[in-house]
Amino acid sequence: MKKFIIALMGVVMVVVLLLGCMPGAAPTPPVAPPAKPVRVAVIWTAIDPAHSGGFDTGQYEGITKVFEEEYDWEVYHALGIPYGRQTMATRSLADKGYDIIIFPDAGEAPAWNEVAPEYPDTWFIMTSFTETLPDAERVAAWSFDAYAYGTGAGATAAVLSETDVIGVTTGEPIEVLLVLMSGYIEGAKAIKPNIEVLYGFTGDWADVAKHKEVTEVQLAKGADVIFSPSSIGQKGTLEATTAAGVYAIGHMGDTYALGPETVVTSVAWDTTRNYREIAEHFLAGTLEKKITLVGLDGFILCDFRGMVSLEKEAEIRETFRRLQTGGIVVPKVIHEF
Amino acid sequence: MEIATADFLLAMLRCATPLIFAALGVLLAERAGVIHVSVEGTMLAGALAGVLGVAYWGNVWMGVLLSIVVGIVTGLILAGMYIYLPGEQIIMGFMFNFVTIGITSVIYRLTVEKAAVMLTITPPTFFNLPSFTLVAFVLAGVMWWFLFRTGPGLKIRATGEDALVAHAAGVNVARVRALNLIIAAVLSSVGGASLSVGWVRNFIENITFGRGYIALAAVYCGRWNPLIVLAICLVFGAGEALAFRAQAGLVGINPYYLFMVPYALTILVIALAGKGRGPADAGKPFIRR
Repeated sequence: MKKFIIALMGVVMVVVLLLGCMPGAAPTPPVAPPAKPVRVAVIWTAIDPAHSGGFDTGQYEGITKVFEEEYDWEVYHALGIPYGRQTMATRSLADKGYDIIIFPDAGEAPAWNEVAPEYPDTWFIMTSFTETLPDAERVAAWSFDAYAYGTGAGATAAVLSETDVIGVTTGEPIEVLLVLMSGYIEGAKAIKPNIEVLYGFTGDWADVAKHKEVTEVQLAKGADVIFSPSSIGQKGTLEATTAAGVYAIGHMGDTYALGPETVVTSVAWDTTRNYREIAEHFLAGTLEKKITLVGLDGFILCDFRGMVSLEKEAEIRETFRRLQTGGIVVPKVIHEF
Repeated sequence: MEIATADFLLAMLRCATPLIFAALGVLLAERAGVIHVSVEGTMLAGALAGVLGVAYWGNVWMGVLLSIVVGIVTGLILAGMYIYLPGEQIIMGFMFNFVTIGITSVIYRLTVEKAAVMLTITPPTFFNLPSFTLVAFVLAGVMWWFLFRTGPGLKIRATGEDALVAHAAGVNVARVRALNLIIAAVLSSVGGASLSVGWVRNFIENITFGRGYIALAAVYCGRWNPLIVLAICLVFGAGEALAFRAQAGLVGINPYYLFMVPYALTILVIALAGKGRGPADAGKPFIRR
């Protein structure tokens, strides 16, 4: 039996060899090697940016829509990297030869600054608030005008409010937020000079319970519209506004899914525009070392989904448009908190 | 800044309720001789279970029931680790907490379509007080009576104080510790549900944010006495509620100082309370000689 199997295998091998050597198969035309796909890595502090809502989700959707769907680039999402370990993670990703490394969070600047000079062949791009660039050649930033963004949210809240008391609940009193909140106050006052703007910090970006409690304080003081420029913790704010039956305004991305009974609209950064610009410049070889500052014209009001009357929606959209085009001028006043 | 208002008192109770459940769990386990560092992990598991129970079955009490089931399962696992293996309780407790963060995150992502959505149901209230809070208050009283006024309570305390003596007196130390640990895990798990289902109607990864560790501190401050522990949890809750309200009236004060209020209050209470002595055999594995 063993001999039979060995003989059978020998026959099969000879037949395969002869078939392989037979003439007749036309030579295939040379095929150009497939273009090397662009490889992008994104450093996330958030564990689940797809569902955390607000800023992170807006960024995540922009990246996936443009880089993955429109350009079919290879994107690696490094999730849940705490600030203290981002330098190590960034270096590791740069070692793996990614073409572009994206930093979608202003707090990631230390890793951006430290690692970018070490890898001259990789592009390191910040897509959040920044005023400076690292000391390297292949660095760029798409930053936003926090004050202008705040004015958009504040004006929207002011138009919505019936009690003329509005609130803002956020995480930690970092510089960019203080500027944003100043814009929020002044934007609201540009629409209603006597409006009262309440604010509160939770000391944390993700603690849902603290966000709820800070918002409860504002609701108890009569606020009927709350804006929560925070991270996943804003779910607590939305819970409080839902329970109280008042409005909330979403932050940076379309936040409707997190609070369908309370989110009227979201003042969203048009991240797809930013990432499309990055992709176009990268492919054209025109990406350069500079900060692209996005003003209020880079923001949009998301779908209202019938949360307010058509007249009110039109009034809000018109106010927002006038802010964008300079029809309403808001003085720049930085408040102390 | 209004302090003595119904709004402030309700905020204090909301902040304190998950802590009371978790601290009672820690207290019971430690009274039986087991250090329940794993309270953070069991709270987290209970928080997710509660939300999933409500999200899938559309009933608050199904959420509570699922958190109780999860508490029993985690209690059995912990009993195996702490009592029957037995291992170093504090290190294993921390490891359990880290593993739970991972497991709950995985389950959360698998069920994200349901688990990430805000619950539309709120737990019932009695005289405007959340039902979870009322249950927590009742439990504190019942636990005090049980531990200090009943025979089985005495057995539990004896097991935590000197396991060998309790064993010599005929107490099945391993069984007492295992049973208490399971009940402690159930309490911690329901504490998690009181946070996710009873308070914020949401779940996010690591939603407990160290509240289990605060419960551990509350038990130390409360001298392992359920009624004093209840009071300490209320002090901490008052500190949190105060910190949020203080911001509204104190423009110019760095908010970071205000964030410290609940912790500073707790430290102050510890300092005023003086040195406490816990159950002598807490944390020591029982090995029969």
